[in-house]
Amino acid sequence: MIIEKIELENFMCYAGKNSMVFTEGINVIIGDNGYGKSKLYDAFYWVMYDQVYISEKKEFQNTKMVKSKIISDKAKWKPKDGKLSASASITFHNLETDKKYILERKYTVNVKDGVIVESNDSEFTVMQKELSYLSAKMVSDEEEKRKIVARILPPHIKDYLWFQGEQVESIIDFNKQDSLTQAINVLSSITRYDELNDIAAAAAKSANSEYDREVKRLSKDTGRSNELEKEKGYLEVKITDLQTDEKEVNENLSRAEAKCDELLGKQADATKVKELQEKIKGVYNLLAVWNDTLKEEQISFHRKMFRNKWVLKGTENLQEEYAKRFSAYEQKKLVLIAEREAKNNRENETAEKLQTRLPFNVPEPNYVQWMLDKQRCLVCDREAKINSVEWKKIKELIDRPEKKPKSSDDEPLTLQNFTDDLKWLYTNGLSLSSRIADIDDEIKETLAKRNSINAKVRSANKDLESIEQDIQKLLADTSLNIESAGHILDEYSIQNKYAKEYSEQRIKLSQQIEYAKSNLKNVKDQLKELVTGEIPKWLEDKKNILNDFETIAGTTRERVFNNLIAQLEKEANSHYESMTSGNKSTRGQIKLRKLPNGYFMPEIIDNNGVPLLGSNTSNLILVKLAAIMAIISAKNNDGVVNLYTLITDAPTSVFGEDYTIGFCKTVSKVYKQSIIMSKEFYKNQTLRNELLTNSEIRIGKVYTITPSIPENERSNRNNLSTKIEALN
Amino acid sequence: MTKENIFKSYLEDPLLIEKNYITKEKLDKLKLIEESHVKLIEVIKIAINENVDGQSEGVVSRKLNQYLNK
Repeated sequence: MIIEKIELENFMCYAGKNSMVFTEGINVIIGDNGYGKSKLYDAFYWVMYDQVYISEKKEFQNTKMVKSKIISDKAKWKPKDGKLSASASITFHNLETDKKYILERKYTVNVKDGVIVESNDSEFTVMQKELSYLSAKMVSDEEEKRKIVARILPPHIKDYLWFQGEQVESIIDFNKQDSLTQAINVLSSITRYDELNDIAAAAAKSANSEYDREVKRLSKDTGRSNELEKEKGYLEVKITDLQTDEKEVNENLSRAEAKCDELLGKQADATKVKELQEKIKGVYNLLAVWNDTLKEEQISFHRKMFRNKWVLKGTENLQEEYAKRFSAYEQKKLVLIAEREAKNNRENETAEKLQTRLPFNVPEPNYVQWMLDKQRCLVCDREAKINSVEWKKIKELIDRPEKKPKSSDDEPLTLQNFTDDLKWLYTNGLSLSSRIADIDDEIKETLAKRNSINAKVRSANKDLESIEQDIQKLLADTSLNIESAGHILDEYSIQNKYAKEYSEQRIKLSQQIEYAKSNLKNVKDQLKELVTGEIPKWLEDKKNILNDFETIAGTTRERVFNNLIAQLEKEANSHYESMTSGNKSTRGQIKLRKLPNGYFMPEIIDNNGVPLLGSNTSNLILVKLAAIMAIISAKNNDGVVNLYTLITDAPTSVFGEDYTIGFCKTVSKVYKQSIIMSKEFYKNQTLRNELLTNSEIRIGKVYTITPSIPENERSNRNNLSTKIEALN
Repeated sequence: MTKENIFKSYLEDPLLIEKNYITKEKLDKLKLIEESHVKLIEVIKIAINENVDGQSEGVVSRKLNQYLNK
């Protein structure tokens, strides 16, 4: 049975007339949050069950409660007097018999003077077509209508096939041990074996009673027989009581073991939180050290500017310039000295020349002085009056310049002699300029060191952030708080002690049951020994055959169930693998673990069979979905099961885009038809393209839905409608 | 699951051969619609047929009794 079409008129945000057709495969309705996906899901559910899902209250409410909220605001705005309705109808098509069923639900209100007068109930009509091409006939019998709805979607399986994304978690409740077993019972054929088991047990019991009555009737000692009968009755009651106790102990043991597992998981999480906190402390300490080092390095950097003469960086030209100038200065000084020496030499030379200018017969200077004193030239023996030309001529001879003393060379060239200072500066500059060459390396080294510390600080900060995120995530995932972590170990010890005690009790009870059974057999043998004559063979055979039937029915049920579990495990892993193929971080495989009370619980184990504790919510939900799909696909392999349509609103919203394509592939494999409302394909165009083109996805119809008014602008909903657009 | 499938799963039980109800060769050839001439197997057939056809536990027990009282 597939859903062929849904038609909506004034249903919630779907103002006016709207319709969507569906085919086999995965049909997807794409829309962002607040675009009307949940209202579409509501439409399906409302038609079938007269209820809509109120997400604020997380519950389904009847039309009685919701009333005119079912009708679109646009239709309700300025209504004309008369009747105003909202309706939704679904066309189901049984492809094998070609029968069609059109289920329609309608809610009508009266409008008088523009005021809406609400009614309480909706009207439900069922139309049936014997063959798709024949005209539809209305089904008027209420019981028949109910049967049709139950045939279309049996009530006991609807929770596994029609669900809201947020309901996924509750489909298989990991806190309820019978949750998976219940799903297996509902979705698989194992209940048939349970029923046969019950039939066999009842038949065996009846045959045993009949046989016992015959044994009693044929007894040669009625008194002894009565005693033995009494003992037999007592033993039977005792065995029943012991079996009840055993069942109870098994339940308790399962609970204690489950509690231990849960605490073990929490303990591991708590330890992890503690470890992460220790790690955070370590990182904080490290960060403090690095920050101090960085601060010191900063101060030291400034000191090194002067101590290590880094300030000279960039003054290489200054020194060169100074060297040039100093060299020019020295040069100039040498030139000046040379010039002065040349001048002296010239003067001395002149003096010498003057000396040689005297005639050979000129007497020695003392005679010249004598001539001046006597005012008479002794050479020509003429008078030479003082200050006369002759006298001055003679005096000139005595006044000729003498050679300058050598000491005049040492006299400074200028008034201030900076030679030594300038030379010191030059020498100093020279030693400093050789230092400048090393500064670059030093600065580079220091900066590298500072960068390295900075990087360490950044890395420590990043580590800190990441650890804090891990802690928050862990706390959110495990609903654990730091304080409760301390109590977990104590509680675990207590539960572990209980588990051991129950385990011992179970062994003891089992032994007591065996003992009581053995006694019962003795009593029965004794009763048989009292028989005179012969018990009819047919009765003996009947008893044996029906007891063997009971045994076979029990072992067959057990064997079939174990095979089913093995098959489910295989299928669940295949679906789990397929759904998680887009996410490389997913680990482990699904194991359906048998509890002491006979129930099965899904868990994730590693390659060595060790349970993986602290799996995240997404993984757990995927495990649940994989388990449900496995039950459905395993049942599908039986070949006789009618396949029902999976309708789910935002099932992937809880586990992110990485899983979306895997989920679609798996769903399209497992279900003949599915209708999925999803927002993941709304913004992610790549994902949408993959949905439409991936050959592994058996795609049906794909629609986008868009509201006329964005959700954040809906203070006035009077013009709200929803546009439906087919993408394929 | 069909009646035949259920029947086959019952025939896999080793007790049938262990207690000499039937030989393995005959067991392998058995079909739901064919007479087996083994009372236990016929009992199993009745139970399966009646249960799958929607009969109540009481009705099935009565039919088993009737068959074995012969």
